[in-house]
Amino acid sequence: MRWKDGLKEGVALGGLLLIFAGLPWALRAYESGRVRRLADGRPVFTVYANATFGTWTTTPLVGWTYFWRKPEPAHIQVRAGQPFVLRITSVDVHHSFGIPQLGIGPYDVEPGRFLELELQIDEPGLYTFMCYTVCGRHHEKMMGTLEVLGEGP
Amino acid sequence: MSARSDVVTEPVVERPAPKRPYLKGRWVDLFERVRPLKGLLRWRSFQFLAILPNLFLFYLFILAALWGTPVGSRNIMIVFVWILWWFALITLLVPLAGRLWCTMCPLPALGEWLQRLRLVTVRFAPKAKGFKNVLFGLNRKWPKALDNIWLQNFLFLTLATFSALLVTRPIVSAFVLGGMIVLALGLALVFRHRVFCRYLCPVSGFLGLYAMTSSVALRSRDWDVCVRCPTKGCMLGSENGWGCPWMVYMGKLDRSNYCGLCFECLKSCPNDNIGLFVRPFGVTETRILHLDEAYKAFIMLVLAAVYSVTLLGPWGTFKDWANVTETANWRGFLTYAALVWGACLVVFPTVYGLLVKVSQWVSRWLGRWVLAPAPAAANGAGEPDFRTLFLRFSYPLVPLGLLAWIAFSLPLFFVNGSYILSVLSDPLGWGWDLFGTAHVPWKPLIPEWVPVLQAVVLLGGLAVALRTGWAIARELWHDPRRARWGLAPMAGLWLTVTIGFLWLFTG
Repeated sequence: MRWKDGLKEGVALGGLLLIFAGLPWALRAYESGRVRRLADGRPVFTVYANATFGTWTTTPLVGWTYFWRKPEPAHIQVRAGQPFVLRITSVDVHHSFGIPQLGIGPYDVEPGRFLELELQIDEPGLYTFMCYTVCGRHHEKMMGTLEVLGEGP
Repeated sequence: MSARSDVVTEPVVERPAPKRPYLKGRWVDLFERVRPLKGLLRWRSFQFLAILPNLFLFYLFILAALWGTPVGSRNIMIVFVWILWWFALITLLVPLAGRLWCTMCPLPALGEWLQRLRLVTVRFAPKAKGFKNVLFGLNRKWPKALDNIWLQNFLFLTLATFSALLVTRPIVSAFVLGGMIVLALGLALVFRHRVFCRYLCPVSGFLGLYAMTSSVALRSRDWDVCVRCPTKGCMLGSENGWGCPWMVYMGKLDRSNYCGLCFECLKSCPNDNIGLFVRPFGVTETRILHLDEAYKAFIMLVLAAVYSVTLLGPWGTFKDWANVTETANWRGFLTYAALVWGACLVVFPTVYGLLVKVSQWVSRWLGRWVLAPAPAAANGAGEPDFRTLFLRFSYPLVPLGLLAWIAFSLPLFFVNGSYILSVLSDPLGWGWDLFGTAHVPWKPLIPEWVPVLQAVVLLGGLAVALRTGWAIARELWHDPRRARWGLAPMAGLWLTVTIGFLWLFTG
């Protein structure tokens, strides 16, 4: 191979490798940076609403896990008085999110969109969040728990 | 690349009036009109650079399908592939530029690059017998029995049967696209050239069919130059270009079905005998030659109707049958699959064949008893046989089918187009807002005009089908009166099909 051809091939191969290695890295890096900015030092919890199993879950439900992973019901723990962020999305149909004991919501949760709530709960206790829109056969099972622990050290 | 070949002889330079029997009528050589275009297409890096952005995008689509939201309308895989790409492909690229998508398609690219062990340059073996390029892999020849597009037909029908899943579930689309990449890669290592594109790719099958109508076509300027060419560089390769990856010999090419517009022949031709021509849409000089191609035309037309019913129509039962993962109604799904396959492979071809028989009978009866027959026609000699009529009259279904597909695609784009803006800012459904358009609400564009546009497109398709049908009938029967009667049953069917689509879209 002549050096000119070799140079062309090298540049082209470099472009390919940049795409194959760089794109996944860029997507992940941008997302983690964005969540870090959103968190601003606070814990962030992502909750997925799934009508098929009738559950709110913190198990990541994305394209490749949606069909085979049976999600665990969400159980979120925070400290009383500690600010935190809830990111809520639906992976199928319209849902509504609310925590009746705390007077939070109901908020619309659209499929494929994120609802981001910045919360701080001062009263320790076990709170249940639920779906306010009839979302399917398992609507009545759509519950998760938010456990607010007493202020710790 | 390496030293000049001792087999490459002097180029054939004598240029008498070019013989191009298929270039009848208003054909314009783009290379003569737009001079820089030829240089651009001869540039070795051109195809690589055309593929690269699409490779980037399709890689992003697959990553988005794996890692992004499973909600189709919020995932770039579904919105960009099945709304934007499909619409651009069927309404712009195919009618205007035929197989131009194949020039920049990333799906077979990895296999081809591995087969060539090169990304942009050429491996030249001047002393090799036959092909003058070195290819990596087993270099087997594709079996003769499969040298047709039946496999493409069946694969396309299979995908079409699962289309309700394919166009709504990102992960299913990712598996299909990923599967095509892997299959193309595997085949490239076993067989020489692009056998995946030529014989298996479901997209390539209909691109090839509809490329027959397209306004752009690559052809040799003069067949005689090709016949006298001692090197046949376009077919066998040269130091400047690879032998045609689509296994096409430019000296015989008079249809666009199997030319993938990779422009390798433009680079490897030693005689500067390749032209890129612009011609009228839906030209009448081309023809369907084989039964597999005729069936492709039937399948495409019937599927345009099936999709219109399933995706746009108000019939919930049919939708439920097609969408088996939502309903788990397997009996309904099997009924749907049987209806689709039966309509494509049995019902429509049978009806078409019967009408062709009627057309043959009417023209022969008229020739014998009513019109003053030519002596040869009176006893049946010189009459077109059934097979010829069947194949020739299947060509008008190509422009008719293409415009039916365009009419079907219009509401997909105009109704769901606003998703493109929101997905542009949030391609994976992760809550991003890159360009400030993530929260653009869903809003159909000009919904009141869509049925009007669909009607215009369908009637345009009917007009082109009738025009090509008339040209074919004149060519088959010579006598205009017999041609008119022979065409009538077929024209009746094309009219019925158009009215059926009009009813589906506007009724």
